[in-house]
Parts: sequence; structure tokens; C-alpha cells
Amino acid sequence: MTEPLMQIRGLHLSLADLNARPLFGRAPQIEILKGLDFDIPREQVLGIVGESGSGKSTLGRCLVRLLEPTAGSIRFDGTDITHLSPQALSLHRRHLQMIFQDPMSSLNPRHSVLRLIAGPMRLHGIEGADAKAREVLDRVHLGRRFADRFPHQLSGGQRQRVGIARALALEPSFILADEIVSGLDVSTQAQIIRLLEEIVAEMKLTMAFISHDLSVVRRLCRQLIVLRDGQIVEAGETAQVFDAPQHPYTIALRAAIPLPDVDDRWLDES
Amino acid sequence: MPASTRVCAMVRLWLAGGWLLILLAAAVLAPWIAPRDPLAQDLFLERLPPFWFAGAEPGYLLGTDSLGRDVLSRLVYGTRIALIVAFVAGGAAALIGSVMGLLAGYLGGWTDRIIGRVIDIWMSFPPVLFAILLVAVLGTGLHSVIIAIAVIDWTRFARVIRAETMVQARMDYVASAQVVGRSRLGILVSEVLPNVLPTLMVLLSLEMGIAVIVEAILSFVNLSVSSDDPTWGGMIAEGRTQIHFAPWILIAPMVALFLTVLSFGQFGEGLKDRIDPVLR
Amino acid sequence: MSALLQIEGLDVRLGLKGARLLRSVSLTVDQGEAHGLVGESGAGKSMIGKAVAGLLPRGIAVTRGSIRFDGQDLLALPGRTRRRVVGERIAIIPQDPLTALNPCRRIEGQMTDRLIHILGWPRPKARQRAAELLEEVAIREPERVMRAYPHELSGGMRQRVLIAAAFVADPALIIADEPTTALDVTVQRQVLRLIRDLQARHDTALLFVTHDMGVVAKLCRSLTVLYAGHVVDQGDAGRIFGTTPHAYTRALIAATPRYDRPEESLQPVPPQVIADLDRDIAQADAQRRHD
Repeated sequence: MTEPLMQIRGLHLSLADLNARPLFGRAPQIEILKGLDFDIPREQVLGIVGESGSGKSTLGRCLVRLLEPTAGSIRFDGTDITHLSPQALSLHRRHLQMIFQDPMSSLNPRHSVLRLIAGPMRLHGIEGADAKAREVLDRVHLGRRFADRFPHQLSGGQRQRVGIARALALEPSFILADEIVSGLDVSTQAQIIRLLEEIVAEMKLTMAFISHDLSVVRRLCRQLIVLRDGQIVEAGETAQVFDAPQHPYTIALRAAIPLPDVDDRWLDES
Repeated sequence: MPASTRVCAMVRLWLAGGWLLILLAAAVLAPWIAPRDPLAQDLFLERLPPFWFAGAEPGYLLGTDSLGRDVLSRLVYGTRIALIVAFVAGGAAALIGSVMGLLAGYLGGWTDRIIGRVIDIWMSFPPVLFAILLVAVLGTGLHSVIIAIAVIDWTRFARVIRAETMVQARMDYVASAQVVGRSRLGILVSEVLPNVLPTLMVLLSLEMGIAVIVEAILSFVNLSVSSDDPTWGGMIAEGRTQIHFAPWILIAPMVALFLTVLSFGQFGEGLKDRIDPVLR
Repeated sequence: MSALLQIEGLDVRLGLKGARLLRSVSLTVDQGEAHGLVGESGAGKSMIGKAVAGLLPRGIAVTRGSIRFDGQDLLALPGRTRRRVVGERIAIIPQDPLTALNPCRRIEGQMTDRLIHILGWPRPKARQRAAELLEEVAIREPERVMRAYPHELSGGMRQRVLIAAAFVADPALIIADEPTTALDVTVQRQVLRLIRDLQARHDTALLFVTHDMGVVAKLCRSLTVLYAGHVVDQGDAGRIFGTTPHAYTRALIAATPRYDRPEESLQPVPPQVIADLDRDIAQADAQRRHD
């Protein structure tokens, strides 16, 4: 067994409470992540599940170092990236990519699809960026004719494909996907999940998939962690966690998912 | 956007742009267009009414003022100073203000706190008084007027651009640019700036209108260019003393001022709608 | 059981000649029945509720069809009468609990508005009624909550206040437009249970708009499946989730993720199904142009 791509140990993060900003002195800190330990194995998708306020998105932003952890460590491919400066981090940037929840707000509305995908490649000195960007468009089954369009001319599913293409273009070793299917219709959601499965298998990617939807995670991820109030309440093989959840919170979470079967008593079960 | 709204927006843009174009032409071609020398006095022809009144003299379309100078010619020459002030002072205020606003909004922390305090202090001075004070210190003249407007009005830009930048900086595409490895300055220029540009355009066009007014005010209190040189504000000040005998002296520059300020504002709004790909 | 709401041949268009948003939609909701309106974005499911409540946005209009509510055709009524009927007997549970409550007013005023201004109740009686409803949605200190401003309440509380406010005037029909979409699953279940309990207790009919096949299966006895403003499938929930012959409905169910059968779920809707639907709709449109 090879070493995991990412090793997270004792991860803490506190942010200033902007609502309680005093006139003088420092704002009080709110502890959002309260000591997390887990690994992200190579060439797999790890599911990170939790409800709003669980800290899952904050954790995601720590993993790609958009946020700097307050304590603990993140080892990425053998390097400690916990406190790297922006300059030192830029060497690793290419390999730490992210797909955002809302492609409308993560894609600059003023840039064409081609520029959105090829821009980052040029920045990292990849040659033939335009040609490669067009290849990536094919890879996400969007097609080259979309190259000259702008984000607002695309449907939700197409925009999310651009978001995926943009992350893939740099051929990263790690991709974080933050709630990337939650705003989509079920049929589009199914297509995007299929696409992710295909890409992960073909490109041997390592991915962390953040979601509030356990059902989607069940399909896509081999392992998962369940987050609540900044702590991991349960972790393990997805199939195992679903078949025999240990923590009461996981049990409640699973029970609250409405399956598309008619069942009059479901609402009455506690 | 429904078709009717779009037509309205087009009409607005063209009307406003048309007026500004006329002004520009008047300013550049003043020596050729103006029927007479704006400074030439003729005390025998003082306070002639405009052409639609009885007793008008042919050749003096808008009449003459109390010294017998041709109002139309003074109005045409007045556009020069109005436009120079609008573009130079407005542009300078926009430049200083947006750089400050972008830095404060994007960098946050100490930079933001310092710039923010400076803006607060700056804006607590009454602007017209501040301008009069500045011009009094710098000495009268066109350059002082321009400096005064830029020094006072940059805060209008800084405040709005700072707020807008803060909103943009929290957008996912800024995070997204960070993830692909853009530098901070690169993100500011290529991600944030284009998105605050439409706001900047609107502010700038409003500011140009304001600059024209401020210059007129300073002329009115005799602190702008020398009182002989034709400026709209100077003409209004001069016309005020004659309001009971010759209201046209006052009305012509006021109408010009009103149309110009209105057109700058409308042109900016219209242009914003045209350049914004999200609205287009 | 009698039909409370009967929509027939309803066409809604953007402008008189513009895009069709609803295409000859017919449906019936009986008194006390929970009816689901499901479909993907752009299917026109919210448009039906808006047409019933008379809340269609500017420029969008009913061009054909009828909406009979308790025997009267709402579309034939003069504006004032219609607003009174709707105000007295139809209520709405909105999607977003954050923007649906006015931040500058106390909860009490927002809950009793309808009782005092439309039904002409005296204030003390209206207050009492509001407090009762808050208790029904399991709010422990109704008096305190009624004095509070919206920002002083949690998101879950606000959603419960909105549900209580919808039931306060004992309406005959409640239109709920994706009321749980923004909520976590555990909270969603509580909210659905509240809606169901109140609806059963007060014998209120419910028109429940959602994109979630799971939610509709648990809450509604009957449903209408829409695609591009066109009714694809309609009827008893048991039949639709069991043996429906309609390919699009089956595809929607198969696209819904399910943790118990991951391999069978999340199937993309086959392009052929969409192509067939689009063709049928185009034919129907052409047909109606000839009529």
C-alpha cells in the first residue's frame, strides 16, 4: 500500500467572528474545525459529508490552502503545506485544484470558456494551451464549439463541465469538488456524477468530494468521513458506513434521506 | 431584456452622447463656430434679448450681456473650460480613488483601516468650502480648480470601489484564480478590476458632471479662471446681477450646465449596460 | 370528496405571442389532498402555483384555460374579488425563509396581517390564534417569538413561523413552492412532517412544488409530472412510483440518487426520451396553432 496523497493531522481552524466585532482589540475567534485526522488515499474519491455548519467547506478550503489552518498539519505528497507562503505554495498550486459549487460565481463572467480553461495553463507555462484546452472540452463531453461562449450563455450543467475542465486542464494530482452537483437538476446531476466517475477512473485522480447528499456520496466515493460541528463523527469504507452506521448522527442523517418510494409512515418514524 | 427597454436605453445613450458630442465639437471648433469674439465688449449693444424676443439684433442669437458681449459666443468658449475640467479633474479623481479603493478592498487589514479612516475624515469636510479653501491656498486658475476637484472627490470613488471590490474579492472566481496559481496583483488586475469597471464608468460619468458644477460654483464665487475668460459659472454669476433686466444671460448657461450634467450621467449608465457582458 | 381546485387547459405565455410556459395543463386537487408538482427547472411547476395565487410576474399571462377554485372560476372574477378569495382561502409557504419575512417587523404583525386586514378579526383574537399556531409547529414560547424580529430567530425557527403563518387563517389550499430545498435533510424531514400534520389536522389541500422525487413520494398522494410546461404524467403516487408507463417519469426516478441501490440510481435521462418528448410537444403546439 502506497502512502496516502494527503495526510491531515490534528487540523484546527479558527476564524474571526465578524458579527461580534468589538470597537477595540481583536474580534473573538470561532473554532470551526476542531482537530481532524484523516488520510486521502491515492486514486480514490473521498467523500466528505455533513450538514450546513459542519465545517465541510472550510475544511475543503484548507485542503487546497485557500485558508491557512490555525494548528495541525496537512502533508501533501510528502510535503508539509500547512503554513507555506503564497510564493512557496505556487509551486504546488497546479496540483491542488478545486471545482466550485456555483459555477456561475466561480467562472469570471467576462472571460470566454477558452480563456477560462487555457488561462491557468498559460500561467503555469504549459505549451499549446489553446489546443489542450479544446481537448479538455472534449474530455468533459462539452465539445469544442463551446470554446468561444461566455458563462452566462451556458446551462447549469454545461457551466459545471467548464468548471471541471478548468480543474482538469492543469493535470493536477488532487481535485477538491465542493458541493458541485447540489444546484443541478437530477438528470444533470446524474450526468455530472457519471462524468466524474469516468474521469477519476481514466486519469487516476485523487479527489475529495464534499456533499450534503449521502446518496450521491454512496455512489461515487469508496471512503467517506462524516463531519459534524467541525469534528469527524464517523469514517470508513462507504459501503460499511451505510450498511452499519455506528454513530447516532450518521444513522439520523441516513434516515432523513427521502428515497423515491411511496411510504406513508416514513414521516412518522423518529 | 425586453425590446422596448432596449430601444429606450439606445435612445438615452444616443441623446446623451449626441449632446456631449456637440459640446466636444463646440470646444474644439470654438474659434470657427463662435459668431463673435467672446471678450469683445460693445456698450451700445448691451443686454440685447435673444432672437425670439422683439428688439433682437440679427447676429446675436442668444442676445448680449450687460457689457454687450455675445452670449452664444461666450457659451461656446465656456464649453472648453467645462470639458477640460470634466475630463481632467474627473479622470484624476477616478484614478486616485479607484487605486485607493481597490487596494483597501482587496488587501483588507491595515491598508483598509488606514485608507478607510482617511476617507471618513476627508468626507467630513464640507466639499464646497474645502474647494474654496484649497483654491484660496493654491491661487486661482484652471490648474487649481482641477487639483481641488481631484483632491476632494477621489473619496467618492474610493468608497464605492472599495465596497465593490470587497464583494468581488469574496466571489468564487477570485478563489478560483487563486487555486490556479495567479498572483495577488494578477488577480486584482484581471479578475477584480474588470468586474468593478462598469461601476467605475458610472461613477466617472457622474463625477464629470459634478466637476462641471464645481467649476461653475468656483467661477460663481470668482475663484476659478480670471473673470474675463468665459466660463458657464462666471456667466451665471454675471447674469444673476441682471436677472430682472435680462434673464437670458442667466438662463442660457444654466440650461447648458443642466443638459451637460444630465448627459454625463445618462451616458455613463447607458455605456455600462453596453459593456457589461452579463447584461448584454 | 369534492374537487377544491380544478385547473383545465391552462396556457401561460410570456407575452401574448411569446414562449409557452404552460401548455394546456389540467389538474384536480380535492379538499384535504396533498398534490405534488414535480419536474426539472424550466418545467413550469412554480408557474402553476403562481397562476392560481394570481402572482404571475409582469409580462407573463394566462392565455387560455380556467382555474376553478371551490366552484368559481378565478380567472373570470374581477381583480378585487379574486384577490379577496385568494386572500381569504389560499396561503403560500415560500421557499426562502430568509427573505420571506420582513426584517423590520415583529413576527406577530406578520402572522396576524391576514386575520386583521382581510378577515377583519379583532387584534386580541388574532394574537391568540397566531400563538396557537406557533404552538402547533412546536414553538415552545410563542409569546416570546411573536415579539421577536426575524433576525432573532434561527433558520429552522423562521421556516416554522412561515408554516404557522400559512395555516393561521385556516385556508382551504396551501401552495408550497420548494419550501425545503434550502434546508438540511434532517431539518427537511421535520418541516415536511409539520406541513403534513397541520395539513391533515386542518383538512387543508396542498399543492407542493418540488424537484425532489424523494420528497414528493413521502408527502403527496397524487402528483403531476411536468416537462417544458407540459403534463407528462399524472395520478396516484403509488401508481407513478410503481408502474407508470411514462418513460420520462421512470427516467426521473432512475436519475434520483439512492443510497440503498447505488448502482441502479443516478442514471442520466436517455437523450431519446427527451427527444421523443420534445417531438410530441412540438406536434401538440402545431396542432393548437391550427385550432
